Amino acid sequence: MLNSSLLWKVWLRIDNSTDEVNQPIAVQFDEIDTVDDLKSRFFQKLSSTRWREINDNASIAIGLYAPKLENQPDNTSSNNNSSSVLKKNNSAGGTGNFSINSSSNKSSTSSTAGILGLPKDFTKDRNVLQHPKPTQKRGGLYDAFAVSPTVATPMNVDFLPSEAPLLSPQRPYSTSPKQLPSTAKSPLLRFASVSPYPKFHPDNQIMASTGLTYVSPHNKNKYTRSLIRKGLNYTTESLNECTYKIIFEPDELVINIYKELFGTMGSQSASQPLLIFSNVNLRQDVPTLDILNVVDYVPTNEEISQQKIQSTEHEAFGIFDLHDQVSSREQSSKPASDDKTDLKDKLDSNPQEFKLITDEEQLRRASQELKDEEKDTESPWQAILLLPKGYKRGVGFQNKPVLCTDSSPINDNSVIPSELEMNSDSPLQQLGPLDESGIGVIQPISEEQRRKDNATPSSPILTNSQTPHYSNSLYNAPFTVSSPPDPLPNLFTTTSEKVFPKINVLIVEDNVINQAILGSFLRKHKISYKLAKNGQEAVNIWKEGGLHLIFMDLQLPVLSGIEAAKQIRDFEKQNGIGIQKTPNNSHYNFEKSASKRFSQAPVIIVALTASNSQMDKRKALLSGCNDYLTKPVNLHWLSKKITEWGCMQALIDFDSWKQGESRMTDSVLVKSPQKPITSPNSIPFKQATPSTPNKNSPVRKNSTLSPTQIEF
Amino acid sequence: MSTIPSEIINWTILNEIISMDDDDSDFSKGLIIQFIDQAQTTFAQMQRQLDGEKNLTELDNLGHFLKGSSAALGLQRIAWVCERIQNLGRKLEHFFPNKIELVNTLSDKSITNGINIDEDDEEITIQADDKDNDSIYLILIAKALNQSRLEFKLARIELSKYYNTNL
Repeated sequence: MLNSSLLWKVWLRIDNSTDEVNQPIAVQFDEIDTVDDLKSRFFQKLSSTRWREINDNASIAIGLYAPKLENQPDNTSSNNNSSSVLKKNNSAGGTGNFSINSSSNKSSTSSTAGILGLPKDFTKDRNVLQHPKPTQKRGGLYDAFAVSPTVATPMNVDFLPSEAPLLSPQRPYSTSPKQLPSTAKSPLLRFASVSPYPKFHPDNQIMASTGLTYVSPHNKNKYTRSLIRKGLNYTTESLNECTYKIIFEPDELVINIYKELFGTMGSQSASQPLLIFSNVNLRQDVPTLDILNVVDYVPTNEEISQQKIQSTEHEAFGIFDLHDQVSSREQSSKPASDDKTDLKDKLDSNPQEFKLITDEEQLRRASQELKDEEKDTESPWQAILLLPKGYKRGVGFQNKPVLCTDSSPINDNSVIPSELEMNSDSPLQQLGPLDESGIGVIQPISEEQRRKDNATPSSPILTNSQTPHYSNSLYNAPFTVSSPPDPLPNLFTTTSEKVFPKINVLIVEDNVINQAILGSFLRKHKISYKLAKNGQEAVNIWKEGGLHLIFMDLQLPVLSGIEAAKQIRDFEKQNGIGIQKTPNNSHYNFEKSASKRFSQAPVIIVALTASNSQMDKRKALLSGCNDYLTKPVNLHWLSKKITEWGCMQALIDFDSWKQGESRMTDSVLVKSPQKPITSPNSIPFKQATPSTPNKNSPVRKNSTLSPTQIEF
Repeated sequence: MSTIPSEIINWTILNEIISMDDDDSDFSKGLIIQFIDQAQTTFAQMQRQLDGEKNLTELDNLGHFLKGSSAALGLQRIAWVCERIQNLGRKLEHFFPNKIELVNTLSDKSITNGINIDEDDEEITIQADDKDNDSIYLILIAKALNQSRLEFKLARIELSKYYNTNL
């Protein structure tokens, strides 16, 4: 067998009492690993899942379900079950032939004691005991576990299951696309019919013939039993009349359990997982659906092809076989005796539900297999689910995660993608924040380049505009004093000789009278300004750039002043505006400060609070306003304020202040060809600007005013 | 609630506006005329709210709007009443004084001579309803609106005197 050269692993699955489907998970283990170690490994595997967070080593147990034997003296159940024996010969995994007997007796009394009746009845026909040597008893135990909730499996135990195969109420899987367990024939197997996972794998059916010696747990109490041969330590816990739970002791060697249950290494398939029982109290909280998604294990192509080689009868995984489910559901209501062979065929032909297909070749093969199979096995329900490349999440199928992992006994050389890796592939994360290059964050390179340019004898300010990285159009656009109703048309006229281009103010005010008053005031002081009627307009105009100061009324239609201020501050933050990247460019060096064009300063926002409410003022300051004025604005006071703020801006950003140019967001506009953030209005605005730098422009000559020359 | 200013016009403020008339001789007068128009429009909008939608937030906004311009022009009594409307719309205040009390606060009560202080009052038709929390505020706002109409009328008289024209 290939298995010998591969890592040891055991399939585990979280048992839960809900309808949710769990995915078996392969966990590697070493020769010396105990059950406790296995738990730890399992936790490692599930790290970063919610399940992990609500469970710890002490709250979980590893075990399986086993049916009670019929002959139990204590058995009081009166259910009569037809007995069915299912037997499969399978060569997959090289485990040899196993036959499974799921037996239910019409009457509990009719079955022979101790034998489960099944092996006896059917072994003759079915080669029940052909399992390779070490596995004889494991079959029984495995059956118990694999079929556990549903079927009283034939176990060669001293005691027969008290009840015929009953389904464990704990596992009512209802919508699983999975194949039915072979036990589906029993009419009582309601759960089995809908189980998401095949309870039996034809490959790995283990004969429940001999080996288990545990005493039937008719008591509700736990008993510690030993398997006869291996002396496995486990406890049993009666769950209901027909099943009980076997829990392995923490210090039991995994390898022993494995050998006992499945035989040689690699014999276990994914459909025969050991169950992880979590604390009963927690059980209903376990979000198994989420955790045990396919993300935990995605087989590689190599694995898949290996599996193909190994188990020739495996169907393509990733192909949903509804047929199995449906048919087994149907069959579950039939008397077992009627269609034993049918069921067996089904199991033989459809041992797997899913296959991961990652390239065209595989797809072609898979669909061919599907076609072939449809002819053979009248299973029209299969489908190929096409997923986007890189899709690693579970596939929603009837609300269940369905990308099934292979049950191949080999493998585990594969790299199992971590949850983190999964997440990084998530399409959501690809929608990052705004592309910074798209909105023109200043590049550091330009600094040096610009300094070189500054070395020319002419005015450093003028040469600034030669920076190759930036269009100069806006820098050459002089700010002129504009008339209140329509400042924009005048903005770029060349009649700017007598203009004080100092600062550019935005008045955000919905009341035309207040607009007029403030506008008139600013005009009188020869301060250029723009008007915005509401917060949204304010943000849009601000994005066009060039503003030094914003007078922001707070209670505005459409977008409040508070919100507008927040948006502006957020935007500044996103673009690194106001972050001093070049601290050496301090204000005392005016020659160098020319470079500050590229160190953007935040706009000053002064809130105009109509009320005296402290709340409004606090909100204003919290939203990012630098100061507030209480309306009605004292114009005398306002003029002082404007001088103050204007000088402040001059200190912060002397160069652009000096030139009366827009600095921060203008460069944004210029640099970003697509202007993703600017309003459509800004387009004509920008196009109207002169496109060629002109060193001899009178504006430039005029723009060498010192801060003290500013008039207010 | 602050007390209503006794002067109709805060001349300190209005004079600042008027001082800008240097370049634009009729600038302040133009603003006053604009305000008169705006006030009448806003009163009508408030009345529509009281008669129709009864949206307190909208009344708050309207009060805020008119407060801004009236305060900027120094029309402080109107601004005061507008602030009451604003606060009533926000349910921050639960009371509005009677008209006679407010008229009595005027420093120069003679200005009311010859006018019917109830002339412009709209009838308050809103029924107080315990189940409807808003109705009490609507009633108070209606009361305040009547007051603001009166204050507006008084301010007009004052301003007409100043500009020596019938505004």
